[in-house]
Amino acid sequence: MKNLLSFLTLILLTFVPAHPQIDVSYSKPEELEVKILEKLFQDILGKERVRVFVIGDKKEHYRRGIEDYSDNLHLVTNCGGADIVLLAGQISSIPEDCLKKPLFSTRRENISKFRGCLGAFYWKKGRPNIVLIKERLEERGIKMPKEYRRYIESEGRATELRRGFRI
Amino acid sequence: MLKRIKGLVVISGLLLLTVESHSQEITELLKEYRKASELYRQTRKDSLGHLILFTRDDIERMQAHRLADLLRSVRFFTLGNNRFGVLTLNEYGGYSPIPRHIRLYINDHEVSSLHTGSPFLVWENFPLDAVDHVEIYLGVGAIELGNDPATLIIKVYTKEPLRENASALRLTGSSRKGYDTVLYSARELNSDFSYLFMLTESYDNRKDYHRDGQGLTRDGRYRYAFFGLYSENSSLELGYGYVNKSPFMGFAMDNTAERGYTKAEDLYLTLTVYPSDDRSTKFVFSLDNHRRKHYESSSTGLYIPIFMDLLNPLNNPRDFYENAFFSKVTLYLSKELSSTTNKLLTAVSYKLYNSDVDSRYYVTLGGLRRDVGETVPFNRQEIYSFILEDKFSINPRNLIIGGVKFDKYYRNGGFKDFDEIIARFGYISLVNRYLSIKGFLSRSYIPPFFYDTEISARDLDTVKIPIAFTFEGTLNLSSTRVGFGMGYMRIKDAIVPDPTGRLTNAGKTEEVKPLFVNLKRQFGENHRLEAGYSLIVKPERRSSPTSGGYLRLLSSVGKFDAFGEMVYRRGFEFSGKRVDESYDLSTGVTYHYSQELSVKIKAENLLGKAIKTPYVVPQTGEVVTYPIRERTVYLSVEWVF
Repeated sequence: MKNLLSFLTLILLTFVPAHPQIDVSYSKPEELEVKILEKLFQDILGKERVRVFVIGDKKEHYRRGIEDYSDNLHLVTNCGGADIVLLAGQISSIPEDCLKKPLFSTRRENISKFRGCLGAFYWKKGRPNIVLIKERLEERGIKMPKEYRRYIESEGRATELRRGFRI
Repeated sequence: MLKRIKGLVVISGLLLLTVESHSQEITELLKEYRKASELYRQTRKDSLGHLILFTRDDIERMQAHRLADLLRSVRFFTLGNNRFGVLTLNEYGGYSPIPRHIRLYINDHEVSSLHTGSPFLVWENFPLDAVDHVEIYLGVGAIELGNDPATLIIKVYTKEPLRENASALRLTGSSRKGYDTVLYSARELNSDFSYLFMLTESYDNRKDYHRDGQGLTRDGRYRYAFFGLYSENSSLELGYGYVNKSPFMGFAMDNTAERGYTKAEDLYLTLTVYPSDDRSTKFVFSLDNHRRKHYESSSTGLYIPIFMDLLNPLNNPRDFYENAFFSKVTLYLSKELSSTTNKLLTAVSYKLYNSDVDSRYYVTLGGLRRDVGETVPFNRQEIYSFILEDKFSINPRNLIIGGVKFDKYYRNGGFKDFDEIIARFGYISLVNRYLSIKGFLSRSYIPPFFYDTEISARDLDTVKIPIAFTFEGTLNLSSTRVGFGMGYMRIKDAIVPDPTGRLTNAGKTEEVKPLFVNLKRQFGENHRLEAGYSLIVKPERRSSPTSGGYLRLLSSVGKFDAFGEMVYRRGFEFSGKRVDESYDLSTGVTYHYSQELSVKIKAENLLGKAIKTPYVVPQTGEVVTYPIRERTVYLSVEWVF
């Protein structure tokens, strides 16, 4: 027992420095959420700076996040000036001029609801997921980098999943 | 600055993840996001004590379908069953048929029995399907929760509907012809509300034993329901638990209750409101209703100390019946004041407990019925509490916690009122990038519960813990984490049986000196090895194991998840009988056929050498032993839709 105690004391003394030197940085989920959207949009559109129009019942949350954490995403107030439209949360209808733009959602359900929705970044079973629809990307001539291969699904599979009877 | 303090309080195991720019691969970013968003990072409170955490991944890989599956390896405790076949956790060296020092919470609501203080009669088989993670705090005098004092706090957190968007069904069958059916759904209702709903039905069929030609069973039927409705600043939760089980030994003189049952039902409702957007004010209102019905009969008689007639054995009980109701009303209001370096919590709470014995009688061996009703006039207590806790951040890497909780008990029936103080001083520090330390100095107490006073017919005093010192250090070395700690605790006036078996306050003071070391090593992303050993230095009591350890391997390969767990507890001697050291081996494999469908197989007590709980046969003084569970294999199918 004495040996164990002296071992523990030794560990303590060895590792306690006079002044702590290293600062711990905590990553914030809100910040990472925006970073992921930023990367997705940049890779979908193939450009560094992206103008985003946000609609949906969660728009305030995403607008705030983009404002606070992204240098490359710029919020715009209508679809006309946007490169991409973010469907944030639940949404019943979207303005006509938005339909022509690439859409991206934070809910998987919006993929089957809106034909122009290229994919979604959403939560399911306690895990964040990304899905991109192959046919819809091709329609717009978008070629995603290789790292996205595992997230690209065909439209048929995406709809099957929505019904939830795929066993 | 509030975030700074929170950052330290939630010392998330020296999380060294920094947000990098988009040069990172999307998969890496996604993983990092998932890690940073883990629910336990929001709920864990290092200030509550020394934490053992089971994350969602752990629970899934371990196929921990029941709450009890996670408790096997908890340091300083040995899992056991009491005479009624109900789960208990014996502290090293001790023998606690009813663990009144353990508190169980589902989210923020305490579900421990209002009758005995132990949460396990109804909740031991609570399914973890709708649970995100489980936090187990070892620590005397956690103040912040404002509820009954404890030395071990188990906090079960349900899944967050907004992150689930799923429903699931699990069917499990066991080799002992038991089954589990669990259905849950967690989804967003609309932009303001989300819900979680769970319904379960299970039959826990355990091995039957035979003694002198009589059957000894502890099978139980369990039902649970949970409904939670959540909005940004409020939540409403309804919980229901039901158990109907055979009495196992009960009070029987020959250790076999020939007929009988224990039926218990717990129902609760809890409403939590954060009136302001910064969530600094919290209001909780909750109602608990518990019902307990117990009947047992043994032709050799029952040994219920307060009903025994030493002069004429014919007056001793043969049948015993009780039907009792318990209720609790809780009001809690807290306000958190934050400044640059301080976070001050002030709270007041009011709790009203009621016990109502509808019927309680026994029939003597001579055939006479005796109505005993409430054995003591005490059936109502009110507790007023005032809480003050301050977390002071010396700098972002060092935090001091100081707190007091004043409890004023008003009890009826001429029973004495208590004035109790829980006080605590703590220090948490990230010493350097490798080492973090945590220490607490506390004083606390454990109150007697209705059951204790009824069964002893005595105005029992509180159990006092005049001083408890605990220390823990964690060393983080890339993929290895080493934890170590020690403590010193003094316990006075413990509630123990006297020579006749009636509960009384032990007049003496006991000292406990726990010591532990554990290790976690991550191999790549998918494999983890954990090991730990804990012991009590020079234990004063040796009625249960005084040391033990565990080894656990969690692994994921392709579509397979696997786990193996070995829990060791040292042998001991109980009333002259030697109980062997134990090796409880569980293992399991999950096959994920698709994202929606998985098949699981699990075996427990594979070696047949799991810890055995000893029981004295009152009639002969002989000691018999039984494990909690014999070797059992479980096959499960889970469908997510």
